[in-house]
Amino acid sequence: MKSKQEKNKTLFIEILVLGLLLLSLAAAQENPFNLEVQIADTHKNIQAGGELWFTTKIMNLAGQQRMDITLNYNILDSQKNILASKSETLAIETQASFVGNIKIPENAPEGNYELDVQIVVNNKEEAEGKDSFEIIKKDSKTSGQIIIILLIIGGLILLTFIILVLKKIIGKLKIKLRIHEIVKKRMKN
Amino acid sequence: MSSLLIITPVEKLQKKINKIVSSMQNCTGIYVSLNKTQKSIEETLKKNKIKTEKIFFIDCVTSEKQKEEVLHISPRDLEKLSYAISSFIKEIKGEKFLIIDALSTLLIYNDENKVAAFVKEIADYASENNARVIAFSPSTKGEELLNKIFNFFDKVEKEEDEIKTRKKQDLIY
Repeated sequence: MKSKQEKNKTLFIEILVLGLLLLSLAAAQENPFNLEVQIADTHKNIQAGGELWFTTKIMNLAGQQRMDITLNYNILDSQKNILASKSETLAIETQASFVGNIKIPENAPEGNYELDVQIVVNNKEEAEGKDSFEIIKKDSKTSGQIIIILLIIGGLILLTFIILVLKKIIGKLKIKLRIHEIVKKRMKN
Repeated sequence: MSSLLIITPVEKLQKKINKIVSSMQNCTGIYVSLNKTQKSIEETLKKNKIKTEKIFFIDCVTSEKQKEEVLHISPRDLEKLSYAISSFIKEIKGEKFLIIDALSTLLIYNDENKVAAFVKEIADYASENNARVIAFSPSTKGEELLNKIFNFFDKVEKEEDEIKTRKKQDLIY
């Protein structure tokens, strides 16, 4: 036989669990989605014109049935101005995790930016996730280096061509002079 | 000046060369030697009592400089050879002749069409500059080439191989 104190303790735990359950249900009713956005460390610094790659993890806390959601991706500068945006619709049941990307405009200035992702259901924002990254100076070295390499190769080809032509001309001149001397010498005799 | 292509059996080649060079002893000549060394040719000519004082040799057989007055050019370098021939033609005043001994040898080192182009260039240059060209070729070699180049010469002398001729005659009888 359980004592009265033990019975009260069990009742208290049951009420607490029920309360927590009701609370989470209420929270889920209010905010049914959990959204996580993450930009990998290797993609935190990106050049203008590049592709920003990230992972998005969505959890549908309330619904058990499949539903369509819209994801709005925005790249915001420090003044919350939208630099680039993208939108897509997908069906979700309980959870989804996927890799996405968004193109950074070619003329994007350097600086710190934020990738802001929103879940919209029936024109109502249901959840939001963010991560930050930096747009760095476009590496002009690469194209510069290519130009230099091409110039060097071109220069070498031209130099080889000039050397070959000169060699030919010099060879011919030598022959001409030699023949001139041979004929002159023989004619004297 | 006329140009002449002599196609003759190998065994008669030297005899024919001697005859031609001997007939032109009064003129200055250029001898392009593709078969034998300059030394060997000079010796053969001298043995046959042919003066070689007026002959300039281009030796395409040996690459080593043996005599100051002899030009050594590789038979592979047709451009250089053509330039040397034209330079000699230009330098020598008055009547002159050019002997090419033997054209078919060039086929060992060069493409047939290149040799044909070389022959045309030389024949044209010689004709423009008062030089007589006499080119020799053994009748057994380079028939395709000979068919391509005989048009570049004013005259073509072809001597049939005795053995072949005899065989033909045997067949007739």
